Amino acid sequence: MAKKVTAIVKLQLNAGKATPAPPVGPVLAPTGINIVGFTKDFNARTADQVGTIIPVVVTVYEDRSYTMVLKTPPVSFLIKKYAGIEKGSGVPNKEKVGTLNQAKVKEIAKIKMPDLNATTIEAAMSMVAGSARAMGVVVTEE
Amino acid sequence: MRWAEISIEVNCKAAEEVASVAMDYARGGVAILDPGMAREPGGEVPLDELELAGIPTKGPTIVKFYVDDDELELTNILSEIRKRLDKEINRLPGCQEVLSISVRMADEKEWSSWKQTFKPFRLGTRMVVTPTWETPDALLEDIVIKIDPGQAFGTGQHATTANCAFMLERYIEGGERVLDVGTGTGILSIAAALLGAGEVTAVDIDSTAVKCAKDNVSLNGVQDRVKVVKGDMLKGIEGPFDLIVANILADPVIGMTALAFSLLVPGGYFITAGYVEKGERDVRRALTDAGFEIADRIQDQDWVSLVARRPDV
Repeated sequence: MAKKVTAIVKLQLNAGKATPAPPVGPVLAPTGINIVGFTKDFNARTADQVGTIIPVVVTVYEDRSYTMVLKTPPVSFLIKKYAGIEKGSGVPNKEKVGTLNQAKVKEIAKIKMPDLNATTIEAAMSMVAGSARAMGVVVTEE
Repeated sequence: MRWAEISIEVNCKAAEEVASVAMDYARGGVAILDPGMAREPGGEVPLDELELAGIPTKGPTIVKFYVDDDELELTNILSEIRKRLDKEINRLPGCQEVLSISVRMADEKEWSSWKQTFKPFRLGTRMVVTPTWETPDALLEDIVIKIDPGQAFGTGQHATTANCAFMLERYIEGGERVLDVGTGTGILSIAAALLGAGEVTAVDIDSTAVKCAKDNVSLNGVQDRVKVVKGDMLKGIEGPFDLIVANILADPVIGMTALAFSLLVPGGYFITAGYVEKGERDVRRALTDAGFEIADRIQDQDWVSLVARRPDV
């Protein structure tokens, strides 16, 4: 018989730099898993991506074992990174805070493909472009 | 230590967007508690194969994050977040509802409860590790290591620490000068001393770890042989050593191979760990490039430990 799941938690953490401090400690402690072991696991598996934010889905079982699935960085994080901006715009339709060309949109789409509900790179690119516009980032045609 | 815990209730698919706003203020990262993850067909967990033990599968998603417990800063953060959510999120399709934001003070003691799950266990073949609050069931000939883990790394339960402990058992014969890089709780240094090492230097960059390691060293009565120092890897460390153990991550291990080589006596061993199988090739290359020969290897799940030997002259 399959093991019972007691919790499913998604965390967005700095790659390679997780510690038992918040949010990891307070969010995972109630699940009963070994928190220090978890941070070590996460850090070793994301060590090659230091500087990015990695979402991780932790599934905890009744015997306090867990599995973790690493995701691609959040699209907003990638847009900010590629557009070279700190924050999205508060009024995206009026105040533009940065630009992305098609090549950069394509790069982001490629990174995000495994986690997007898109079958073609073009579909993924249009999702990325939509997110960018919603943050006040202009997507240029070339 | 206290933190302010901010929870934002999200009634739409905008959890990622809310999380990205939260990320701009959060310490360490954000958590997304989404009951939808449990019922998503083909989602994170194949639920047809699993049973859920009373976890909610319906209800709002909560984005939770932590900031410093500072009233003024908290007020500023909350008002800024409210403004940004109004502008950036409530405008999204299906997100007309007002998002609720709640704040709670959280104390570090709340999540130290994981200590309850720390029970005595066997390390390597001859050692038993026990938290200070338990009495272990050890054999007369066993070496008992007492550990008070605090907030530092390394209770010994992790495969990488177990791999290193196993290698220490194999390579310590008695009287060696040992260096433990990234000591955490000090567990490997204590193990080395109790296995017979002559003098042990334990290094960690984190002051919490240094204090934790010092406490544990005294707890085991090996303070005459184990010296705990705060330092950045091998910087400023003076050798020579007969054995170096580094249970960290792939990159720091790779970065220290040349210096480790120079700090070891000919015939000395460098025990490396803290990386998974996919990082092994790079570590192996760095070790051989530095002049080491690979002497030993152990793997537990996908955690690898390589032992490198500085060749005799």
